[in-house]
Amino acid sequence: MATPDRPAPPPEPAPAAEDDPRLADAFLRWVRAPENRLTVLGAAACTALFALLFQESLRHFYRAWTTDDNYSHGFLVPLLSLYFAAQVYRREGAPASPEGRSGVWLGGLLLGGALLAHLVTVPLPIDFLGDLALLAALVGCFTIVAGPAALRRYWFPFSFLIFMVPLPIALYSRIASPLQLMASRVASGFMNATGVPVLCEGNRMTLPGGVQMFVAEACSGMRQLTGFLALAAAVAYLSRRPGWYRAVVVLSALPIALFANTTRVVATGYVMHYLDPRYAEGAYHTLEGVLLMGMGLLLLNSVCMLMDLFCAGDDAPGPSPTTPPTEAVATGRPILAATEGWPSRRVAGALSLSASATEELS
Amino acid sequence: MTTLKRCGLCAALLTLGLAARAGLERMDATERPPLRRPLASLPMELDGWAGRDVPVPLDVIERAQTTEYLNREYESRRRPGLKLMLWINYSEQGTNLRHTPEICLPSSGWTKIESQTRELQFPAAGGRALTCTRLGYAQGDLVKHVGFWYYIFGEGRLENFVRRLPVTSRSSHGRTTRGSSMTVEVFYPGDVDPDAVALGEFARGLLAALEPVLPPDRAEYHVP
Repeated sequence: MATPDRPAPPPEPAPAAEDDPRLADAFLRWVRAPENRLTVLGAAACTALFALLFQESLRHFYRAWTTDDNYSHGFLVPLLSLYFAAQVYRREGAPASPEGRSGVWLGGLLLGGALLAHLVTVPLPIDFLGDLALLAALVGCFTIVAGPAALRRYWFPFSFLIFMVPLPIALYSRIASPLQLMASRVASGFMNATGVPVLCEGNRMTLPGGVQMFVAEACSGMRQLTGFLALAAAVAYLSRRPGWYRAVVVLSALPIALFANTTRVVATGYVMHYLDPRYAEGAYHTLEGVLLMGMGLLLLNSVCMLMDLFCAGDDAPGPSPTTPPTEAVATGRPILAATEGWPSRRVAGALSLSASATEELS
Repeated sequence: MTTLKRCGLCAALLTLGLAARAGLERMDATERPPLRRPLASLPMELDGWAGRDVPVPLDVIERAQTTEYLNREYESRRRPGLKLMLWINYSEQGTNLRHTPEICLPSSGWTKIESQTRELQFPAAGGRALTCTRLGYAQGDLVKHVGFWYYIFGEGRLENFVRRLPVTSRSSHGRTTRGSSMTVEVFYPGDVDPDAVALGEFARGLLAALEPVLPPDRAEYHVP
């Protein structure tokens, strides 16, 4: 208490949640509130039932993510989805509680359909169908509990989860095999054109001196493709640009991933020819992959910068309720501005993965 | 409707799903039968063929995701010099089915010769016939033939029916098998047995020797 000889303490800062609402804080507050005890128990029961029902799909995810290099990014996807959900919450706050039976029918339909699809996988063990059923059931449960308005608000974090689903092997092979052959042919063609005679037989390339180079399935470009598609989808979503811009960002992931992969094959060939075949294996080969991934990121960045030239007039940043318009100019480009509470409805400048963006994403 | 009621509805639907699943699983119980005997128990001497084990590189074993395998070279006693390479891959989880010649060989630079691909039938146990696919592959002047068939053990009729449909009858559906599985591949230079006569002789002996090894609850497939 303040007394005349003791100055009053400075007013306590307002709870962070009010200025900067955080999903995790809101969730903890909801869980701890005594009046929500029964609801929390109900939600916990739902979660347990869900995990029990979809345990095979969850195991399938875990197995694929831990044993298949093509899906080792799988663990990141739900975390990124949570991150996106937290950003939506920070930007738009808690959705209003659904009224009446709003969402019950839609959610029930989604959950019912998902359960039927899941049951089909009992006699016909099609993992892919089971995985998709899990996602649909998740959306269904969410819609029942939170309502359709919340689903509209959080559609992207749920959609993003598709990137954690492993493709069926038959489908994967059908896509990967031609890509693998294409990478071999294009790489050998390029090397021949640049003075390194290469004999290409399927995915086996014979370099001068009889050095054999095998373009494995892992070099088909599928791994880069899935990674880049996920990244491009995230960038497109966070960019707050027009639809065509986002579509181009996502679509550009395809040629960029394939180009980066073919470049990696060519680089490996050069390393084997000009340096030493040993430098094309193990850690060196992994390092090559990382460097080429970096090149892919730069290409994606370049695509965004190029498109910014065309849409600069479309979305010049307007005045924002929380950020002075000059800030966009002062800081250069608050890239992926949406990640910082989306003070503006648009990105205030070119979208690129610059240092500030990296900080945001880290 | 309160959130509690919504959670209750959700839990009720999920419980219904669990009960339906339990009922279906009970109706459609599947196990992954092991081989009745080890693959190594296959005799070295098969009706006119003398075999010897050939070591397999560790990385190949790893990539084949095999539970048990056999890699042998059999030489014909009737036609000295005629050698066939036998690769059998048993996988408890059915993951080896992915290693179909249709994927492995093109990846190694072999081109499929459609005109040399044909279905052959060999007499198997119980008066039945086993269908095998003989595939031809070329690399430059070299031509290689592969006799190929595979088994899935322990699956039900519905799975077997669906698996025989054109859309699913591919052996690369490895991870979706509910039973265990085994692929059999016989490799040889195409010019030594263009009409698959030797392959037929070998397969007859092999099928007879395989019979005591294979679980009886099985389905046979041949489309790679």
